[in-house]
Amino acid sequence: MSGETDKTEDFDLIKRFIHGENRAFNELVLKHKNKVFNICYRYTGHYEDADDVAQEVFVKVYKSLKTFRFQAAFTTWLYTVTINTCKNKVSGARYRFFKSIFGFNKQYANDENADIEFGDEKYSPRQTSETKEKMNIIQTAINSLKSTQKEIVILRDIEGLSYSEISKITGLKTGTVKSKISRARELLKTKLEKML
Amino acid sequence: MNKICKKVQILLSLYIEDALENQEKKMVASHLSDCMECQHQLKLMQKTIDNLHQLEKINAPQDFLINVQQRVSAQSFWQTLKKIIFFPFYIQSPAPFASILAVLVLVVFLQKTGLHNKVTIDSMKDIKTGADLNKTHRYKKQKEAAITSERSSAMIQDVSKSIISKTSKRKRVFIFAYKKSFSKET
Repeated sequence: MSGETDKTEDFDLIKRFIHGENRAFNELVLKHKNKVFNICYRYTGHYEDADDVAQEVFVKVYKSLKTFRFQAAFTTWLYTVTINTCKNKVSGARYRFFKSIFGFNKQYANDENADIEFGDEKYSPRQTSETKEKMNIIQTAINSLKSTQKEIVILRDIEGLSYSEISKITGLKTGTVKSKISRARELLKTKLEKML
Repeated sequence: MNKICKKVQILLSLYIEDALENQEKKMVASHLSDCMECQHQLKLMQKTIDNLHQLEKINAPQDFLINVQQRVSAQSFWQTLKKIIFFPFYIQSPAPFASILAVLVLVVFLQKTGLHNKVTIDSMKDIKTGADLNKTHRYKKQKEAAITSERSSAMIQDVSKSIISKTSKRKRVFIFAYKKSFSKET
């Protein structure tokens, strides 16, 4: 029920924006920024990159919001834009070049026991060193997944979306999504076995 | 670990979520009741999923909205600038516009600096000297023609003298008449 009210609320905001009320767009940003940011953070594994990508997502939304068809939920469309922007950012030659120079991306992508200095340290609440280490290990394991597996795990296990929603966002069949998430979780289980 | 164990372990996460079809669900359940290893793997999978669910949600920074607004306004500024420059003239690409502008600038520059006038005066000078040259050339030709006619008449005189000395009086009269008529012609 809350999903439906959310949907109609989003549609109202979009209609107001289309009619020239720029404040409605600000409300949309404030409403969805944390979810978009969290997806970006889990995808890139870096706070500053997540900030950059999340901003880019909302700029894209601002540009193409007038062409929104009101057929599917706004969040489905928003998450599709988010996932595609993340993909482009991470697979971009410039991004990979800088990451190969500074090296940390390789480190946390391949070495599951690596102690990673995440940019969110100053922003997140204080954690015990044990919990922090656990978080880092899980994030490292997520980063080691293939692109599609990663996006499905983020959408399902971290954001809690349904399989049909994930299917719409990724453009894959529900059966394919299920088989991909099974493989991804199996990989994560073997990577996190020591910790568990 | 046999083949069935492998197959079951891949399905374990979906079994936990109750996202399997009835047939697969029954198969996994019956295997789990017999296999200790797969039961252990089921517990591990449950923990893995729990850990993913418990991952902390990272919030966007406080100035996120301001940064988005700045980006949007920066991009819309460039878009409006593009519209102002190109749309009123229906120019699709900047190349023709730039070439027209370059020609206009060149014309204004030439007129302001006076280079254009200088060029025309120089060219006039060239034309004047060219006319002079033509005149002298024509004069030279006339002079040459006069010299050649003088030379030919002198040659005729020489020839006639030699002939006179050799031929008879009648012939001498004839030559005299010929000479006279020739000089009249030239």
